[in-house]
Amino acid sequence: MIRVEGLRVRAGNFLLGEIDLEVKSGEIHVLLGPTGSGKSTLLEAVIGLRTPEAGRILLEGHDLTRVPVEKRGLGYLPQDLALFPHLSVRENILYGLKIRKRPCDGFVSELCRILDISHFLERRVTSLSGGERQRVALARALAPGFRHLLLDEPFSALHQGLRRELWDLLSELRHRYGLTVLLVTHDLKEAFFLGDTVSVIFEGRLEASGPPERLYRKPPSLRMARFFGLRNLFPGRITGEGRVEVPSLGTVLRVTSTPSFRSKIYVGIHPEDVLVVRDKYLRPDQENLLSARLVNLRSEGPQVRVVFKGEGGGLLEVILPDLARSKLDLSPGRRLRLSLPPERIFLLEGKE
Amino acid sequence: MNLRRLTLSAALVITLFYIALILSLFYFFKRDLFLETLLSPRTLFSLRLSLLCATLASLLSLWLGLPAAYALSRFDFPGKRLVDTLLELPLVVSPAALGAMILIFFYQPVGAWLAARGLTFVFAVKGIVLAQFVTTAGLAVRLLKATLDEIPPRYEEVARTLGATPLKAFLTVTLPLSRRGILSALVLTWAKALGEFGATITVAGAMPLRTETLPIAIFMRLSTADIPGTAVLTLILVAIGLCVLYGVHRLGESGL
Repeated sequence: MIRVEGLRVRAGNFLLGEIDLEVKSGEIHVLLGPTGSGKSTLLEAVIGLRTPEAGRILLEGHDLTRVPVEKRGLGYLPQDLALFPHLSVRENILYGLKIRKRPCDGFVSELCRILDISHFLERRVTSLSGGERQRVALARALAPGFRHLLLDEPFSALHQGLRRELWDLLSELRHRYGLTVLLVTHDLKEAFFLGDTVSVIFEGRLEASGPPERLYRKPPSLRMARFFGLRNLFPGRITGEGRVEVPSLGTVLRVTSTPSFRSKIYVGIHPEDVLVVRDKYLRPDQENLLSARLVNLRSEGPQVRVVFKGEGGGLLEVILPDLARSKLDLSPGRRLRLSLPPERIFLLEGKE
Repeated sequence: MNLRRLTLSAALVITLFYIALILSLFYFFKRDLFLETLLSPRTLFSLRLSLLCATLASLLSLWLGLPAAYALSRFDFPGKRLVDTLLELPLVVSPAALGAMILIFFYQPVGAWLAARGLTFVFAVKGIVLAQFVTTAGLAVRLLKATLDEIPPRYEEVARTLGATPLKAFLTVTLPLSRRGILSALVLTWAKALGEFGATITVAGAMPLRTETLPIAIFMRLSTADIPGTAVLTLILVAIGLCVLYGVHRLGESGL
């Protein structure tokens, strides 16, 4: 387990912290945040490349805060991987063992086999493809026997297909060797695919931490909802117990909870949670129905992103399977009924 | 005239100017005189002294310059800008003035104290090395820093996470990656030291068979209006310089 307690780090004019974080043994913990939010600074402080102003870093209960980088025993993959260009693949992988004067054992061979790099060990690293470089860097970070791995956006430069392949590989390595992983990324898909726990950082402060599904289903703040790319956020007003008026959609919605805050509120719903209801399938108990005009639709391969305009002028984004385009005869100008399931609606406090 | 022609013409004019200067040396070239001058004990002494002092001065510049360049390249520290500026002093102050500064240093109490304990540099071979070191160290640091700046510190950081101490990370990663730049810096520093005149003559004087380096020998021949002898010695210096530059360029192309 990696624990960060009250950590404060200064990097030029940027101040990170104070940060409290717990990476449980065997989990992949994702640090998510926009560029410049301080997530890499936090990772560099944990690895020992930055000296904190305050706070502690604990690894399995041992205080690492003042321990030099070379004695921390943490595997590290920077964004650019930093494979040593003057060494071969084999020499790169064995660098950590050689420095520690430890022999190359069966573990390294097994690692190379799992990572499928055994057949190009004698090549120069400068001749490797992007995916090969990632796998060699992973092998190098794990070869000394480290079981804690710190990854700083290592997959960000790869195309989607290769990234998926490496995500699967990282998951396999994690399960096989019981790795504890702290991964920095600004990619939501990566965070939700890999993360057992996701911690979101904004402007040097930890905004929220928890299982990715929970954070996504009900973002704890307006800023986080926007960071998740959610467009369906509408100003609202509580009109009664479980009732919210949304002028931009021209309707009053039933919601399953009434928030504690009463000031300015925002109503949110994910685009994949909005239902398009055809008249012949309309149920009498269908809730939160509203009429909207289709203003735009854009194919995204397997799905289609449709934008509707509500009665009050608000734009509501809906994601539907591509098949729906022909089944529902989707075309701009068409008026359709939409249903917003109450249990899928979340309310956010109006402040950023 | 388009830009390509204009710029190429400028390059051609400069090149032709240098070629004309070198060719004019051959106007006075006579094979017998060349061999006689080259093989004379005085010239051979100057040649040996120049090679020895330039080698010692450039090695000293590298020995101190490499750690200094590393500090300037990798670390922020109070007074970094001042250090950076002072290191450029030999590039902007005339060598004669630098030589004068060394002389004056040994005539004030600290210098006199050092001289009293056997550290005598004035009118001595040690003075030649010191003068050449003073004029080349700044250049060495500048060249070495440029080399180190090109190597991302990330390599050393990763090496450290793998268990290397800062020194080990430097020796096993940064040093091998910068070897070509370091060799180039060493060779160029050596060439500059070899051709150094102003500071050397100010500190060490121009004593034949004692402190007479090759550039000083050229000056001495010129001062006695021995033009053919001057041309021979200049040809030797130019040949050494061109060989060194050719070597540096080959080094760059070889990808060593």
